[in-house]
Amino acid sequence: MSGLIPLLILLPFVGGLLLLVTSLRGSELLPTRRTGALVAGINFALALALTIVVWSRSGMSLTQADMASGSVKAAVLYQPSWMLIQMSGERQLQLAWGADGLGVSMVLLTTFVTFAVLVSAMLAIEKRYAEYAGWTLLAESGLLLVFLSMDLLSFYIGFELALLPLLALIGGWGEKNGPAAAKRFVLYTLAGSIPMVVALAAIVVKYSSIANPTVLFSELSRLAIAQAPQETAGGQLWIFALLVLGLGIKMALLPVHTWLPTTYNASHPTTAALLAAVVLKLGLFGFLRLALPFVPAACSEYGPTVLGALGAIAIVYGALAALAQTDLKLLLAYSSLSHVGFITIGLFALNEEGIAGASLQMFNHGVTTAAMFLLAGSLIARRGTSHLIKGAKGLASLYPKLAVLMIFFVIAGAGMPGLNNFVGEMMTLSSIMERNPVLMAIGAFGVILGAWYGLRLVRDLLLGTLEKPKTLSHATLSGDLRAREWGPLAALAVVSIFIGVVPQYALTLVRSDAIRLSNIYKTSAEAKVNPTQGTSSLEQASRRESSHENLSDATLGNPAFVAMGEKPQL
Amino acid sequence: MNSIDLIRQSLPTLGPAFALLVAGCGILLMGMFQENVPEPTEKRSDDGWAWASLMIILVVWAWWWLSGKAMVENTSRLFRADEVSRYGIHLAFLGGSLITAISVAMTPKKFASEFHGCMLMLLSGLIVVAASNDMMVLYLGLELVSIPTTVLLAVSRSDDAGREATLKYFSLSAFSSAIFLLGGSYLYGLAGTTFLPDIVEMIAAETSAMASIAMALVIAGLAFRITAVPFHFYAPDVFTGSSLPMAALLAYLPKVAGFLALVRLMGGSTLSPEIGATVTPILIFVSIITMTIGNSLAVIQTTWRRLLAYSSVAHTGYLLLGLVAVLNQASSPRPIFVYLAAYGVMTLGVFSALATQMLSSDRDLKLEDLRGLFRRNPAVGAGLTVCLLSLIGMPLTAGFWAKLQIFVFAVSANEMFLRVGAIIMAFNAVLGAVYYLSALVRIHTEAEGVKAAPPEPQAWTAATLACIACAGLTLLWFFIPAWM
Repeated sequence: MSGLIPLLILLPFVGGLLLLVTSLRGSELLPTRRTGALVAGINFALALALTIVVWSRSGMSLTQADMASGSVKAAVLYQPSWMLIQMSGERQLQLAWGADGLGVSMVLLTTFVTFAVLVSAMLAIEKRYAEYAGWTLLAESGLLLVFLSMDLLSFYIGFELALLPLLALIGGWGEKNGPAAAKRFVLYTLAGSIPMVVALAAIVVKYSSIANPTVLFSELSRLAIAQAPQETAGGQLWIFALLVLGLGIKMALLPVHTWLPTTYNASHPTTAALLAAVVLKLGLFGFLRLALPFVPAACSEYGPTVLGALGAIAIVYGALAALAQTDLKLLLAYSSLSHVGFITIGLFALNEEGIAGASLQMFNHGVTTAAMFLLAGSLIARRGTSHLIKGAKGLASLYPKLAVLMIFFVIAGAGMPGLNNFVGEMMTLSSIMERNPVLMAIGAFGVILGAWYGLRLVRDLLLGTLEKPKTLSHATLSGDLRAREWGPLAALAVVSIFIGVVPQYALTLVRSDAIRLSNIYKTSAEAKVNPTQGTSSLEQASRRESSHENLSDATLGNPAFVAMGEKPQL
Repeated sequence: MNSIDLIRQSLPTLGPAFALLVAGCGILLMGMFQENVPEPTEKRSDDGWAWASLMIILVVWAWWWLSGKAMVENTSRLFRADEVSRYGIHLAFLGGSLITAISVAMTPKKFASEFHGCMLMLLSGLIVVAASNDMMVLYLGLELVSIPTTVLLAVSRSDDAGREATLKYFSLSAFSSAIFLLGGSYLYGLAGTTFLPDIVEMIAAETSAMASIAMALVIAGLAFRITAVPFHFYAPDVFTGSSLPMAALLAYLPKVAGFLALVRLMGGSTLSPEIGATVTPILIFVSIITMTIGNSLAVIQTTWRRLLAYSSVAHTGYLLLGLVAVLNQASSPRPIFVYLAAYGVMTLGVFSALATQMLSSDRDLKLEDLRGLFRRNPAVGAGLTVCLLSLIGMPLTAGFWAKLQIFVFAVSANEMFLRVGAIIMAFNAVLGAVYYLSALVRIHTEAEGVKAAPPEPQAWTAATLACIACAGLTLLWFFIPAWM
C-alpha cells in the first residue's frame, strides 16, 4: 500500500521529464498530445486509491498512544531504510514520505486539478502543448512531494522544486508580461522560502541536535510535545516570524500579497487555475505542517491575534478589491485572496473545528477557483479579452453551458448551503467565535461581499440582452463549451455538490489529524490554568478522546458539525 | 633533529606536492626544447601540454587517494597530515583538474609549457599550505601559490588589459603578503615560536591587545586572497583583464588557500575571550559587508566574468560566516571545506560552460550572448542550469547542503549575532538568486522575434566534459553529502 506514495510522486516527475525531452528534440516518440493528460489521469486514479486507504484508516478512533506519539502521524507511511541522506561521519538523515488526512486531501486536489487543467489545456493551449504538459507534470510532482513529505527536508525540496516549472509555465505561456511576472513571482517566493530554511534549520537544532539530527516529522513533533512546557512564545518568536515570512508569501498573506494579482493576470488561465487552486495552498499547508506543531507557544500567542486579524482583513479587502475590478482574471485573483482569509482565521482558531474546517476549505476553494479560472479561460478564448465591460452582456444566450456552469460555481463560491464552500466557511467562522467574535463578524460580512461581486459578475456578463461584440479578432474558439472543456468542470461540480451534501465523508478524512494538532493547544492552555494539578497530557488526551467519541456519536445526525466534537450546543 | 630527518618525516604528507612540483619543473624544462611553433593557425596546436598536465594531476590524485596515503595522519615539526590537510589536498586536485580541463583549448599558444608548469607548481603550493604546521611553511606555501599565479597572468594574455591585470594582481598580492608577514611577526613575538600549534595555544590564552592586532593583520593579509571586502576590488578587473581559465583559477584556488590558512591559524582551538571580542565582530562585519556588496554589485553586471567575480566575493561572505560559526562552536571545520568543494564544482562548472562558448579566450561574454543556449547545445545548457541552481542553493544540488550547513552551525550557536548573520545571509541568497535566475532565464528563452537556432552538433571538448562532470558531482553530492 505504501508503494503508492513514491509512485504518485515519481510518475508525474518521470512523465514530465520524458515529455520535455521528447518535445525538445522534436521527435514523435510519444503521441504527446494525449500523454500528458493520460499521466495526470493515472495519477489522479492513484491518488483516489490512496485517499480511500487513508480514509478507511483515519476513521478509526485515536488511541492514547496515538495522542502522545506526536502531532504529525502518517496513516500510510513510506519509510524505507535506504531513503536517507548520509551526512559526514555517523550523521545521517532518514527521510520519510507518507500520507495523513490533511496531506491526502491536498494530494487528491492536486491530482484532480492537474488532470482537469491538462484536459482542458488540450484545447486552450495552442502551441507547444507537450512542453506545457511536461512542465505541469513536473510542478505536480513537486507539489505532491510537499503534501506527501513526512520530513522537513522532503518538504522543503518539494516547496522549491515546484517553483521552477511554475516559472516556466507563467513565463512561457502567459500574456506579454508573462516573463516579468514569472520572475517577480519566483523572486517573491524565494525571498520567503530561503529565509525559511533558517527557520527549518532552527527547528531541527532546537528539538534534536547537530550531532544526531533528525528531520522526521514524527520524531520532531514527539520531541516538541515533550519539550513544550519549557518553551516560551518569545523564544520561538524569531522562528515563527521567519516561517510566517516564507509561508505568508506563498499564501499571499496581506501585506505581501502583491505578487498574486499580477501573476494570475499575466499567466494563462489554465496555469492560473493550478496556481490558485493548489500553489496558493502551499503556505497554508506549511502552517499546518510546520508552524502549528513545532512552534506552538508562538502560534497560540501571536497566531489568533496577528494572523487571524490579517485573515479577517484579507476577507474584506479581497472582496472589496474584487468588486472594483473590470478584468475577469483580476477579479478571480482578488476573490482568491478573500477566500484564503477564511482559511487563515480557521487555522489560527487553533481548535479542532477550525483546523478541520480550514483543511476542508483548502480543498473546497481549490475546486471552486480551479473551475472559475478554467471557465474564464474558455470565455477568454471565445471573446479574445478578459475585460468585463467591453462588449459583454447577455453571453448566456450565446454559450448556455458555460453560463450554467459559471453560475453554479459563482453560487458555490458565495457559500450557498448545500454546496462545498458553505461547510468550510461555516466551520472556520464558527471556530473563531469563542476566541474572537469580532473576527467572525468581519468574516461574515465578507461572505455578503463575496456574494455581491459574484452575482454582479453573473449579471454583467451573462444576463441581460446580448450585445454583438465588435471584434473577436483574438478569439480562438467559437460556439458553446466543448466536451474537453465542460467535462472537467462537470466533474468539479459533482465534487462540489458531494462535499456540500455529505461533508462528513470529507471531514472523517481530516478529523483525527485535526484532533491531534489541536490537542497541543488544549493541553498547553489547560496546563496554564491549572499548573498545580499536574495531570499528564496522556490522561488529558484520554479524557478528551472519550468525550470526543461520545459527542461524535451524538452529532452524527448533523453532518456539517461532526468535527465540532465539544460544542454540541451550536 | 636535522633537516634530512625533517624532510623524511614529512614525505608521506608531501608526496603529492613533490610529485606535482617535479612534474611542473619537468614540463617547464621540456618546454625549452620544444621548437618554437609558428603562430598557430589550426585549432588544436598545443593541446598536448594541457592533456599531459591534466593526466599528471589525475594520476597523482588517484595515486595519493587510492594508495591510502590520504588517510595517514601524522605530525612533524613543519608539516601535519590531518583532516584539514586531507580536505585541502582534495580541493587542490579537484580545482586543478577542472581548471586544466577548462584551459585545454585556451592555453596561451606561445607559453603552453610555462602555463601548465606553473599551474602544477601552484597546486603543489596549495598542498603545502594545507599541510603546513609552521608559520614560515604556511607563508612559503602562500607564496608558492601567488608567484606562479602572477606568472600565469602574465603569460596568458599579452595586451594592455592583460598587463594591467597582472600588475594590479602582483602589487596587491605583494602588499597583502607584507601585511600577513607583519601580523605573523607579531604572533611570533608573542608566542616565541613559529610552530603553529604553539601559536594556536597562545591565541587561546593571550589577553594582550597586541595579539588582537596581530590577528587582525593576519586576517587582513588573507582577506586579499579570499576576495573579502575591502580587498575585493581587484577581482572584477583582473577577471576580465585576463583569460578565461585564469579567471576560473582566481575565483577558486586563492580562496581555498586563504581559507586553509585561516583554518590553520584559528581552527582547532577557541580564541581567548579578549581576542574573540576583537576578531569575531571584525569577521562577522566583514562577512556581512562582503556578501551584501558582492551580491548587490553582481545584480547590475551585464557580462559573465564580472558577474562571477562579484558572485565569488559574495560566496566569500558566506564562507566567513561559516568560519565564525565553526570557531564559535570549536567544531571541525568540515562545513567550510564542504562549502568550498560545492562552490568549486558549481562555479568552475559555469566557467567551463563559458569556455565551450568562447572563440577567443580574452573577450568577456555578455549575459545576452548565451541566450537560447539550452536549445543550441542541450548538454552544456543543462550543465550550466544545474550549476546556476546550485549557486542559488536550490535543493537537489550540492549548493543546498553547503548553505544549509552554514545556516545550521550559525543558528545552533545560540549567539544573537550569528543568528542575525544567518538571516542576513538568507536574504543575500535571495539577492543572489536575482542574477543567477536572470542568467538562467536567458539560457532557456529566445530573444523576442528571433527564431530558435537549430541544435549545434555536440562537440565533446574537455570543457564540455568538465561542465558535465561538475553538474554530475553537484547532483550526486546532494544525495550523498558524505562524499563531499
